[in-house]
Amino acid sequence: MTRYRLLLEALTPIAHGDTRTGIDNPTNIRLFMTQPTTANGRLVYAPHISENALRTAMLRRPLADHLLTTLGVDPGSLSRAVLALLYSGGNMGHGRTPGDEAVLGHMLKRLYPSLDLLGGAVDTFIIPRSRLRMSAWLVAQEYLTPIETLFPELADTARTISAYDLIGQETRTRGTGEKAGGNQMLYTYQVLAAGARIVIEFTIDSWTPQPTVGALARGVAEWDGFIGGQGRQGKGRCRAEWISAAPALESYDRHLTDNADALRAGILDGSLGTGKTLCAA
Amino acid sequence: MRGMTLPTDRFPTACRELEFGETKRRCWRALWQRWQNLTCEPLRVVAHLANGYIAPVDGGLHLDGILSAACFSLYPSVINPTADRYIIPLPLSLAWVSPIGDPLWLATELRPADEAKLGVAYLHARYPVDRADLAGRRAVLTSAGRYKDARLPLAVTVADRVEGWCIGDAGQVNRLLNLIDYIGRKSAHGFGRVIKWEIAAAPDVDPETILDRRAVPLDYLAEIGASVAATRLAPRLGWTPPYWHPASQGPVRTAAWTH
Repeated sequence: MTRYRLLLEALTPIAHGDTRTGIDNPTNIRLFMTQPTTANGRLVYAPHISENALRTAMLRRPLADHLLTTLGVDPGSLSRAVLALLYSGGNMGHGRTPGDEAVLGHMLKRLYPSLDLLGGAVDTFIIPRSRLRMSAWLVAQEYLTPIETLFPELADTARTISAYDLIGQETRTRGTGEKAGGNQMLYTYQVLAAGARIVIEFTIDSWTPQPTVGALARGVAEWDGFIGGQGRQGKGRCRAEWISAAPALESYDRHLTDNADALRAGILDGSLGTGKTLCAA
Repeated sequence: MRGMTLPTDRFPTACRELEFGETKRRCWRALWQRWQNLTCEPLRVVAHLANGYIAPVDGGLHLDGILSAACFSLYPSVINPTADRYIIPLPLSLAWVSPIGDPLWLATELRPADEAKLGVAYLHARYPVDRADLAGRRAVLTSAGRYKDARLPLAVTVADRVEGWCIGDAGQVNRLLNLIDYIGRKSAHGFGRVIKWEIAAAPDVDPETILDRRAVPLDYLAEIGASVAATRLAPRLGWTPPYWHPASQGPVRTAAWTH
């Protein structure tokens, strides 16, 4: 396997809502994302940037936008199943599996490196295992063990700060514009402070074709630099820096150029280059 | 390891094998020929984890399943659409081979070495409504049906270390485990990152101890005349890699574990 390491630094506070308590949070404050970990032998939920969010914001969406723009796909021309596959990994519908899904899945993966990288589901089956594993840690005491082992150059920084000390909160108001009293709503959300650092480790499987590795580089290059929510208010703007050799993106770009017609046709007819309709709905 | 054989026709075919024949070194059949002659010893395997892991549906992190995944990644293979299940050779001792050739390897599940904590995490997946104009049919129902917003709860086991035992060749087991850097489910989302594997001799461990700490098919137990406590019977669980495959599952005696 091959590993690539990326360091993110928050240039503005990051708003990243907790999915654990988000639905039934009894307080008026939208809490920051956490994940279960241990501290002194006890279970704690420590502030965290979810890999699921990073994967979507940094790779899935930028790669889908880039693919459709590069191929010149017109708005209104995709099926909903293809749209869901490209932008959120897709949803299986109903129907019988074709029987040769292993073959079809690998054909699809070979033609669409971004789906090979990130995986997804077509109408009747899940595309064989995605190539990318990714882990992210705040550079903070709570994550000292992985940082000491995997990012030793950042261990001293991690020792000096707790993730909880990086969490603050912001309160905003929202109103109807009427002058009548009582129409203003206060809302508060927790944020991760500007200057916080997050390390990301991308692990690519053995035997991954070069265009798929290039898709990782292209995704990060096309990423708009925001993670989390409230981007319209400037939240979540980050600076990214590869702290290992960066993956080369040329092979991905060349693959798109060389196979543009097949890629476009597969997206428009839902066959994804397999000769069978995989995304019909 | 000597004495029992596996049906090599159910091994995957390495691309290289098609070109050069199965006697070439870099294929699973040649690997098995060499591994059959290994001298196996009891081993303790420990995985040091960077974060929590998500156990499979049956709750077990199967050491032989992990080794199979590592071994399968050694060589590019030919995709065979008609193959139902492959058998992957391992550098482990066999306890039994079923009548259809499925191996019962002498390897336990991996369980937390110390007291583990159980947490929860959620993954969300949503239809890209902000890009709905790209689709021919823009209207989409996201509160029900195929494109419903999904919220997937996950039970996260938080442990610094997980441990297990096997009887195998230390060098080859070490080589394979070092190809594995994630265990459990949802590794694409960062769960189960292994930062170090430790393999050490465990001379006190015998095959009975290992079989007691893994799922064992009732067919095997009937063959050796062993009785099973009713509390340890499960009507359908995986007992051989790939554990998720329905054909790898059957009535078993479940693992006894003291944690």
